[in-house]
Amino acid sequence: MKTKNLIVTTLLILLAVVWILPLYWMIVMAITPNDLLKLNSTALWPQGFTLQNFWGVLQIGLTVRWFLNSIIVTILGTALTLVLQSMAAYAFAKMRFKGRQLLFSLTLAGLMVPKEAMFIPLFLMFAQISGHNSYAALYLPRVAIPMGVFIMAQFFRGIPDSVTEAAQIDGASPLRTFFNIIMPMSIPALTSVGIFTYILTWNDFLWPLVSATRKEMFTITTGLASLQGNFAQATELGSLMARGVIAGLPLFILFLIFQKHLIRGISMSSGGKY
Amino acid sequence: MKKMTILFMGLIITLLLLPGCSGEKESAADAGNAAEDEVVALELARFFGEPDDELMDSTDLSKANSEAATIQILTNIFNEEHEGEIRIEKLGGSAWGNYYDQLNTTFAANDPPDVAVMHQSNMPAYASRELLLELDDYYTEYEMNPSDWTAPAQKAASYEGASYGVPFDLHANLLHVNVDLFKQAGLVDEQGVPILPTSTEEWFEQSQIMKEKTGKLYWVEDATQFPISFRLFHSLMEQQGVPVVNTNSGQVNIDSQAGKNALQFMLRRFEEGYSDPNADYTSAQQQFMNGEAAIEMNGTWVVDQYSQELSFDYRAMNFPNLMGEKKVWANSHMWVVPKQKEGNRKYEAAMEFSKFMSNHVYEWAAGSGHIAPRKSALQKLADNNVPQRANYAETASNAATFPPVVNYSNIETIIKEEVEKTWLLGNEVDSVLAQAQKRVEAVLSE
Repeated sequence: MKTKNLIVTTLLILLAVVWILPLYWMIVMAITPNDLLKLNSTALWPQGFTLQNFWGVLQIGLTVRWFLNSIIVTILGTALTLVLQSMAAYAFAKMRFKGRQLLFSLTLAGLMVPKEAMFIPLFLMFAQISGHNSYAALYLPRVAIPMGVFIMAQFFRGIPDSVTEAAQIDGASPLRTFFNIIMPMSIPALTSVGIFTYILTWNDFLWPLVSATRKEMFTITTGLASLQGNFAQATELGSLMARGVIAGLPLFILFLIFQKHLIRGISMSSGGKY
Repeated sequence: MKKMTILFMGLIITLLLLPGCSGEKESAADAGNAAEDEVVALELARFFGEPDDELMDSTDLSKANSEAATIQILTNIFNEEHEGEIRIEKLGGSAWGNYYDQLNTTFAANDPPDVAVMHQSNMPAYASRELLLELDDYYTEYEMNPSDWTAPAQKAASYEGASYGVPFDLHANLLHVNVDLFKQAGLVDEQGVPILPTSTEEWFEQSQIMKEKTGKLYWVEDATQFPISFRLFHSLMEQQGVPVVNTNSGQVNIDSQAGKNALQFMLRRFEEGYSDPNADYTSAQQQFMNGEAAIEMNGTWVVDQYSQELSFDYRAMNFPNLMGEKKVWANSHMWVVPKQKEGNRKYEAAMEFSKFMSNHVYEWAAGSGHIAPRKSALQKLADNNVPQRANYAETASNAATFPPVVNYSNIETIIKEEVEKTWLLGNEVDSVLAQAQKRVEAVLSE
């Protein structure tokens, strides 16, 4: 048994190293002067030290605005997603109505539609209402992603019906039952869905790239990418990596704080125990 | 509870119907009301990146030492000269990897920019769908002089008999040469200028000499990442007088004796160890900059970087004639004016901007390394002894742009993928050429 544990542990350490290595390499390059990276970008130990790559990004006048845009879009998008998706999931899990199963299947079928396929219709819809270059255009398309409905429905199904029935006997309306009884019990699932939504929205690149064409409306991902010249990988690798570190830092902090919930969320979406 | 429900529903509706929640509506409204506004807000789509913050408002051309810096400074000068009349509002800002995705969506939404930069190779895809304004009449109206444009530049701006672009530059393959290594190998003339091969056999002779005398690679290029392999293949086909695709008939000539000659030469260089088959763009550049390779085949855009940064004697040179005719792959940047939903006065502003850029191709070429598309600017570059420019001036007339086809990007990708299979996967030259021929024909027949 001990040998087996040792093998598993060694394997996991190896996998962790494989996963961490690119991140480590990114940080090493971010603190290395661009001039040195032009000559050698494969060293795993810093060939020099500079904070100029970070300073250069922070000196760009709009970086703060892009951060703010990302925060606004991510928070609004996450809040709306949580409310709408948990309400839908509650209906699918706990309420009995005609066509429920069909609607739920249709919702889950949305998981099979790649977001690239929805791009042009979405773009045209927002163009028709002159909605591009707005916060709503940046967060609304994410609100309808069915993964959250699935995770929340799975969670709600685990709550005994007797809980909702007891609330009904006490005279609670469905909405009151949902907000006052079910939601407080669902905080672990809500946290997981919230973190996932937050991460996906924060990291989103392609949709903000086409929807927000004015630099004041860029998110941090598209904003930092917009600073990139042609062949940046060869001439400004350090700056490129520093941008990656800066853009990823809020998520890294979020992960450190909520890693327990994140892991629980992964087990929920994979059908495991939680 | 009712109050809470109403409040909650109100919040949801507000969040859902929040398209106005942005900082941009003001400028969008400005654009929409251009006719009433004194200042025309001209939406510009371009790549080339962004310069350092300190250059964002600069009009000092002495600081124009890169694509990003030069285009920003020129735009600032335009804004200054047209203060109170036209104001440039730059859209997007991606490197060219994402540029056309972004541009395509604006066309799909019927909301394209007022003026955009475009490659010659990509222009037919838009012109064929009647998305761009024909500019022949505007050339006359805005007193542009197409006879001052070089022949490749004129050709680049045309599609099916009409003109759709104002040429901004030509960019082509050059040889970036480590003169010190060439001297060490004894491959220089009396003036110390590197002697380049004039045939494929000479190429291998020089490679052998370089290896023996210096122990270094003779030649390096990105052989795995960007479509540099396609560019070399295209150049070698053109040198044999056999284009990859015939301009008029659309006949594909990849699976031909010329194609075989080109690919066999490309492959043999790697097989005999004179070039690195695994190099990507960055590592090819690093090998050259570190003095591990005597020649790097790369574009015009690195000339100024190398001139300023290399620790050895550097020289940019024309691509050599290895197979018969002096020809080399080239592409072109040009300014195009997308058709708008309704005719509006922004066409005039867009043409003002395009004309301004056309009048400043000297500054662009001097700042970016690209080749000026105007004969007068080429002369001025030579007269002013702008570093290195005279060494590759001949490329302006040797430039072989790809024939105007609608699906250029697909064709470029197919040829790159297929030819690289010979050195990366060990596929046979004949089968690769046959497969490339078949795939390109299929694309052209779409």
